[in-house]
Amino acid sequence: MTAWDEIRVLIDAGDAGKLIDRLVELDDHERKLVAGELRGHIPFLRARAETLQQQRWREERRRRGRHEPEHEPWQDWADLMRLAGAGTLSAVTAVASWVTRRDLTTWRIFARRPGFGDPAPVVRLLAHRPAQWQAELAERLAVKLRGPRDAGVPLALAMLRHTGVEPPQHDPLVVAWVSAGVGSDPDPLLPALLPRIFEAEGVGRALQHERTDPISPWLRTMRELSESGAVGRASLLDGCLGRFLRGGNAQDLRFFVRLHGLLEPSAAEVKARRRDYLRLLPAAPGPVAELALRHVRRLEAHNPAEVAEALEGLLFRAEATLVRAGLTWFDQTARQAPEQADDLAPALVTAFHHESYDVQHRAAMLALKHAGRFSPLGAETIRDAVPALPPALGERLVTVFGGAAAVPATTPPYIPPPLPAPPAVGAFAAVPATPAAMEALGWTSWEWQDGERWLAGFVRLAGQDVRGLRVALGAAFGSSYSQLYDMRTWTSVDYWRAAMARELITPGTDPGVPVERPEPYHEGRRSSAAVLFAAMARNAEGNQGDGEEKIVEEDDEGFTSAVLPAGLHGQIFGGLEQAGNMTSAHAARAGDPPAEYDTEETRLVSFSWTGYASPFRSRKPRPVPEAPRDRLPSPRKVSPPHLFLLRRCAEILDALKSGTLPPVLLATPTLSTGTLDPDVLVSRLEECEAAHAVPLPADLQQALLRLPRGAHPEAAARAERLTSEAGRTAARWLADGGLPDPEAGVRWSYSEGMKEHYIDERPPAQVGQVSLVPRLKAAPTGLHLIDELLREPAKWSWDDHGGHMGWWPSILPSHREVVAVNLLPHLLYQWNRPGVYPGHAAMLAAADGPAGEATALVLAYFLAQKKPGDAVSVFLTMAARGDLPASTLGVQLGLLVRWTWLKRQHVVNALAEAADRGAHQQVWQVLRTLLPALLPRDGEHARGGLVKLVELATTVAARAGVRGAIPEVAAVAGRRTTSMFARECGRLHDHLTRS
Amino acid sequence: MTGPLAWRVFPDRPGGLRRSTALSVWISSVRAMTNTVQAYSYAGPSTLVGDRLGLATSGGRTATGLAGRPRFFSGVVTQAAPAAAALLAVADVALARYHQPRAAGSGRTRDPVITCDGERLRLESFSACGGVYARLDLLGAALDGEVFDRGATNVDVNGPLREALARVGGRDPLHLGVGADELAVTTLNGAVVEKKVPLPERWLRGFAEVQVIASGFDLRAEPAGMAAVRFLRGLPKKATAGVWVVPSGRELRVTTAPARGAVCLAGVGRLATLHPLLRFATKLRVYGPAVQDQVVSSAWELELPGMRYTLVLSPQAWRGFSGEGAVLADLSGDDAEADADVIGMLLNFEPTVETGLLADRSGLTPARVRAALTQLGTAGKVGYDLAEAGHFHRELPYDREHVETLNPRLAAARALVAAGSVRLAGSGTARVTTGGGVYEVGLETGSCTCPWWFDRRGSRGPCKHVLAARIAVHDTEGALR
Repeated sequence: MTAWDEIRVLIDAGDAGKLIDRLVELDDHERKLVAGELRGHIPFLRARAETLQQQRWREERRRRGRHEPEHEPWQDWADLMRLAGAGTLSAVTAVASWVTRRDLTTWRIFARRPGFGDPAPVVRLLAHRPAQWQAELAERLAVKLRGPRDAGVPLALAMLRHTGVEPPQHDPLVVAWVSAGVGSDPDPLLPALLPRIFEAEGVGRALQHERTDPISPWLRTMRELSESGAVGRASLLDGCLGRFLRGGNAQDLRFFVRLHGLLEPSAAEVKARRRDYLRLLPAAPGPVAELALRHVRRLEAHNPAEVAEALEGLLFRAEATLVRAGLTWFDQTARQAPEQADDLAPALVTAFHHESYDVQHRAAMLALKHAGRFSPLGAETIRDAVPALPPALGERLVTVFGGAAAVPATTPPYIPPPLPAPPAVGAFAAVPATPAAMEALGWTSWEWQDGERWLAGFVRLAGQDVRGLRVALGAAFGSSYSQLYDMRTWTSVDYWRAAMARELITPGTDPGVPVERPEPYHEGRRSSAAVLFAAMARNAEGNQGDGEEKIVEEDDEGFTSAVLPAGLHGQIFGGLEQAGNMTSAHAARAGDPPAEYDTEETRLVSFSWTGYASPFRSRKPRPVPEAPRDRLPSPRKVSPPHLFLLRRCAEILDALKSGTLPPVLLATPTLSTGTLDPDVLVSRLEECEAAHAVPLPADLQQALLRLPRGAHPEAAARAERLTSEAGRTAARWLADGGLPDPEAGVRWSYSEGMKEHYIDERPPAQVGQVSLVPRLKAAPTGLHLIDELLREPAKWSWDDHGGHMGWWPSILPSHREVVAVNLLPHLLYQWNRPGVYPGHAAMLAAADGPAGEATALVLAYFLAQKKPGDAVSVFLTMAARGDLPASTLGVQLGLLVRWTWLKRQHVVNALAEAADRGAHQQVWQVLRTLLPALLPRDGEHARGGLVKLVELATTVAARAGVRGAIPEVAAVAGRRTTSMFARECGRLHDHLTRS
Repeated sequence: MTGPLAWRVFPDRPGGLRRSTALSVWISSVRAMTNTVQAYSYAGPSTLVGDRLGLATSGGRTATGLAGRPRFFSGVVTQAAPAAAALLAVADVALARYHQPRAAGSGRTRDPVITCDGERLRLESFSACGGVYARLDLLGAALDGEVFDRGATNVDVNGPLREALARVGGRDPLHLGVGADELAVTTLNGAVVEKKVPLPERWLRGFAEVQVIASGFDLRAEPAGMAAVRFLRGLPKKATAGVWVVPSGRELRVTTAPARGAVCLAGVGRLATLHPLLRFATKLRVYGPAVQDQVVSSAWELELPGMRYTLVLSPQAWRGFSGEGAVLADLSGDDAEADADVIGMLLNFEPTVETGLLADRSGLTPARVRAALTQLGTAGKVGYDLAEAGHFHRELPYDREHVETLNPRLAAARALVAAGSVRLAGSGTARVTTGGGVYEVGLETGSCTCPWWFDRRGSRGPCKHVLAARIAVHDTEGALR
């Protein structure tokens, strides 16, 4: 038996202790032999372990065991191989890479054992090597670390601790060390690594969650070390300050800020580091600067030049709290040392530029207060900076210092660009004229245009080139939708397309709508039952003890493994059988009760059934419904425009089956918006008449809906010459000006106490779930499909509602408000339903017809999103076309912000962007109605963020040059408060009332 | 595979000295797969003792030839506080990894590069993520001292130095020395500093190519002090946010969509190093290429008293400069390489490289000089100064052979041509046969039917098939001539 065989056997035996003993005894030759074999052995061991683990899982599943499986030797293979390599490889580099091999350190499947990857045995084994060798290895392992979650961390730290070697300069090592937590024993690494936590990148971030109350482990350790004197306070303080000076963001420095707070530096300590604290004031993150300022302010007698420099940095900062503290310091210094006032003037004027009005105000007041202390030179500094102040403040300074305040209401330097031209409406893409073009369209379309083109091309080519079309469609459709005829309804146009294609290729393939067979209630449905019962065992004393509860889970396929006491067995399954839900055969297979539970004391605790059907429900056969004539879905289950579209498909299929297809479809648009040229319609009608074909009804009605708005007398005159019924209908429609605009809109409702209320009638007490109630009232047209299309949509969407929404705007291209009303049920709660997207809003913008509440609401919804870019483009398009329902939009935005989760800030951003891109006039009209909706009413507090809205309104009003007071704004402006909000309202009101 | 990091200061010993004095090993690089390891060797750490700032130099090319530890400058920096803060900013960029920051600092800082052209000092650094380039130009107005040599080299930046720089106040004097002799004064024991950091190819190529990309920028906006401050402070707080910046009057506005004249700012957090400098800034200059409908690079330059601090940002935080492909069109011509050799000889670390002058001296047309400068830019031999709208001579102190390695896409294209995979199909198209199939290239439009082109649509320059087709066309035309 060679040494390698011995080692292999020991690895298989899984005993680390014996393996180590044997490894240590190996001579050089044997070591080399074993080392040479190791690498090749890994795949073998891994494959075996995987196989055994799979086996074990299978077995566990079979036994349904819930107990923790026993530990077996083969699970340790990775650890033992690590040991074997560490014991036999000779070079430091070889060992270092062996013990950190990824396949040995991160063997997750087997790492469920807590002891996996324990470095202790490896260290014990390596202890037999020369000290110098060990030190080198420790260093190399440390330098290999990449981060705190590196798998090599435990061993690297253990080796460093064991050898006592000076840890190498390596930032990830320090981060890994602190991330590993504070050890309970005195850590030998502490003296070497502790000073480095102030230097290594990443330590602050790793310890950012350390808190002082309750105190976290590292902070406690630091405190104890400094209190016991083991680590000098000075070194900790210097470390913190050094760390602050080296920079980093607030997160990175949080730990050190807390540590610094814990150390509570004395005045003398601060004094010794005065320069460092001063240097932190201008640029350190907020919390650090605050801390520095607090400690600096404790000191007396600063060098005047230093104070001036510190204040210049401090008053330049963005944080208002720090600037305010700086102003207080300025005040004190100027009072105590008036001769320094001039030196401090440059610092003071930096605060004039601050964003916060409060800070500006305070700085201006200080300038006035100390006006007498400035020499002419200092006064000039202040005079030069006055224009940075708001005009009212500036005026007050001008009276003392001279100069000129900022000219109030300077003409806005920004000249907004003209509104971008709306995108041009293109022609509708050509209808496929050849079978090859049809094949290129494929068997499914994403864009509605392609769908229309396919239908038009199909009808056209079915009349002209059936043979070619058959070949093309055969290639395009192949074996798509193999279950097509098993479906009872076809809700997608793609199904209808497939049916048309199949019908054309092989006429009469459709076997008809499948008859609905009443299914036995349980057939094909999986369910499972869980039975919980308790056996009341008697203990030795005869007292009744706690019952042992046992859960039995079953599924209705088997019942084989159920172990139920006989009494319960009868109770449950007998009952089920009686209810007619289970055959006796099933019940019989439910297994034998174990003897120990089959006692009188065993009782049923609970019985639950999960699945599609309750076992207790009776299985009465349901009445057989009448077989439908076609595969159109029930009007209840789809949205009106969707049904209208499907009807068009259905009639084409019907006509194909009956051989009455017209030579051309009437409704194919001529513009990319879906609009149809009246003359083209008449030409198509003429073509049908010439071919003695009757146009399809839904097709005709769709064509009529697609006509441009208004009457078309010339086309009507042409159409009057037609003799067919369809021709007369078209002529009438063309002469009368088409579909009169239905009464459309939306009302907001909510439910409270099981009752539905409208928000405009009875505002809710609190924000809850609102719903949008679409309103649509159309006078009957006499064309029943159009009347069906103009049904009022439901408030909610369910089943197949919301299908083909991208197609809808093209169904009513001259009546976008009707389309928008139909989109409303899909607007708000769309997380698992078809939803409305900015693209739909863009299509509404491109369409024609009055834009009312519903269109405004769809646009408003997208303007209130976090990324409103697309919606702003839609806004601009509608504005450029003069179609924008601006004041309605303001109202709907107000409702959205007030009663839904959408954010005011996002609305402000979107409107600001639209105003910047040239739509300032329209944005003002929106704001005019939006402001009153959002401003607080009497007695209400202003909600945060309104300032930005009012600011925007002021800017836009100035740009648009509008006048005319808004009562709600005037009310706030008249309040006797100095809040920023009231001041902004005042500015707006001033502007609006200026003559 | 990256080599292990070693950062050791060890006492002076023969080995250390030998390494440093022998010019033949002034840059030792070990190539392993696609990464090279850069070894810096400094006579000692850079220090700031009292008011004397001594920047230690590693090897590089100077006007007088290769030097182990060149000495460039010794004198007073007239604006101490802004200079110290800006030096820190450059060092911060070198340390930063803006895209996917690491939990633990890697400790693999690549040291800034300093260039002395006799009038000014330029310090450049490039972020670890390869998407942010920073340069500090210390102009003549900020420097008062003696220039010893012209050239470019690395300078050591270390923790204690950063700490000391942060302590520099506005009223402190600052004496700057770049080069060896300064250290003799400041270093106590003459210890040698050696650092080894991996130098990924994409990092190096990005560092070089950013110059070429920046040379296509125009000035878009120039807000003065407080307007710049308001703009930078008003940017979204989220570091990864991407916005477009539009000049409006004297201010800059932020929008979410591209507009005419807008500058793309992707990853606003990448401008973080500008913030500590704001209090010294007199002006912000914003540069960008002629805007298209896509995200593009941008440059942000702060005018400080006597100096300029410039940041160039890649189009997206996750996009390094190396893959932008901006240079490929210029490189694919055969002449560029030969021209670059000619132009390269004429450069001598002058403060500005004048295209007209070079054209006169070399006898090449200005267009060819520009193409040659592109070639030199990708080889890390010229930089681009946006404020002066001109190139400057600077040789990156890295393994020259390595820097000059062809762009992989161009190399792949040349390989395709060499293998005869390109067939010119006439009517402005070409068919390129590759292992993945046959792709059709439109020569006029520069489009291709390959998936790479489908995904990027020209936003990263031409694909290898287009390049190969162009080279083939070029070759054919050359043969006909």
